Amino acid sequence: MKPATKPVFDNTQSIQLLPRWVTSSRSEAIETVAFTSGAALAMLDVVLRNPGGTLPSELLRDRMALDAAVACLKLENRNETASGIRDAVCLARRGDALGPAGDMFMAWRKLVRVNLSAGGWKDRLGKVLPAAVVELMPDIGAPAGTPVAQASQILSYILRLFPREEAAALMLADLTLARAVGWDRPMPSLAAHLLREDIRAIADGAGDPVQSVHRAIIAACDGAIRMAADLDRRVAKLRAVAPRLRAKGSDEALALFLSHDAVSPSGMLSPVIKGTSFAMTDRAARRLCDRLVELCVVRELTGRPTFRLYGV
Amino acid sequence: MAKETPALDTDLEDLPPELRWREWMGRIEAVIFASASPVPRADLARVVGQGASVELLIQDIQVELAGRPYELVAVADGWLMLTQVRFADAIRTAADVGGQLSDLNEFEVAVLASIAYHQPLTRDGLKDIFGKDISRDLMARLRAQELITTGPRSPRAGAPYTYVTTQKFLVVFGMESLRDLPDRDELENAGLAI
Repeated sequence: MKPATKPVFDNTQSIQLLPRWVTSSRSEAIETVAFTSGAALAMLDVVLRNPGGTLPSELLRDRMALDAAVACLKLENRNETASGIRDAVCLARRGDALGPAGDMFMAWRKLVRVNLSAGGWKDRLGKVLPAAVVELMPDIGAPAGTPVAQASQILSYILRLFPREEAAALMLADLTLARAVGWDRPMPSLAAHLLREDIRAIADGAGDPVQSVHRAIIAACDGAIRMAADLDRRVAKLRAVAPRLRAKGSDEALALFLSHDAVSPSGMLSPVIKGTSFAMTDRAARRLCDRLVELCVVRELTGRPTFRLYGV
Repeated sequence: MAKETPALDTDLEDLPPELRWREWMGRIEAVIFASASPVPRADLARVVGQGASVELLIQDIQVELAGRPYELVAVADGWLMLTQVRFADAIRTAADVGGQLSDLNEFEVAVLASIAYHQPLTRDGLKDIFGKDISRDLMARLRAQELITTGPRSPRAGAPYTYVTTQKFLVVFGMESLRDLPDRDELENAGLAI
């Protein structure tokens, strides 16, 4: 008897992308979209539970937060690019206002850092959302049904009451989804993948929110898993070169790269490495970033000769 | 925040429900009337009973104010009492509006609008829009009135400041958020490209 074919196991890529039958399903029937979104969500769940212990989840959430912010700004008729938002957040000095784009990203960044498994997360959430929405939260009650059904209930509840608070509604929906599947932090999913017309339809009480949310979940899971696989590979390279960096504070600097979409050498690495008390001169910070680019483990994100920003 | 005065009786148990409601309405109107800046809902909730809906109380007050020359308006995270626009000329003719907003001329409004749409925006960015230098004086005036403030530095030689609009900008123009700016497409269709 012929031995069973060995399963193809790609060691170089520990994160498996969604199978084609999930991503290529074109059917609009509710049974089909619900089934495929369930499968996609379960696969993303495995990725996020991080069995290999290598996934840079903070970085993944930060990047997804940036995508969500771009999408929400578009809903508010502001055409901001990811690089514009990066500039606003990274180049603002203490006391500067960030402007609407920077504020939107910071709200998402704060949201994805809310630890749902710790007490007091509701208070932290209250600082992210607009006051009018926060006030309403005690009345919302516990949503029921599958995770996706719960998320769409919250989404349509908030959108119908506050048709122009799309960002807040999407944030609460993502948070509800995370709680329902048992993630410890929200993962921005719906904002970047729900169509503008779907959001308008939900706010107007027309159309079936569950169906459009299912469709968005499929796309979101696909995107998140791809990004996770990509970041996992890049970060593995970064970790591999870490022992070869002899600059003082390089471990602390790498920790910033592993948790932030973009790092500005002049604002975040010097005079002290953000979040630590490690001093680093401007020159040392720039040299470290140049060295990391030379080693092909981080990229320069702006293409500018000055005011450069770096990220994995 | 002001120091807590001896606890205000918010529940008003000794009043019959109808009078209690009237008293709460009165308090909310008085607080908003007396405040120089928009009063957040959470602050209003502190002068009424636990179960009372600030929203409903405000609605009742608004109904009562219908036909008066002033109204309760939701602006930027709070409530404010404003005179109605159609009395602007009368107010300008006779009222002592003192240090409140001095009139902005058309050009200043245009500069403000450009910042609102394109923020964060530098003076160079404004120059590109208007085809001429915008004087530092004008920017300083808008800043002094707290309609704009400094935003993140621009990634260009000299790291010039950008400007962004403030909460007060929203209040002065009667907006709840930047969402209330007219749609850019509509403006262009009306021949008012900014």
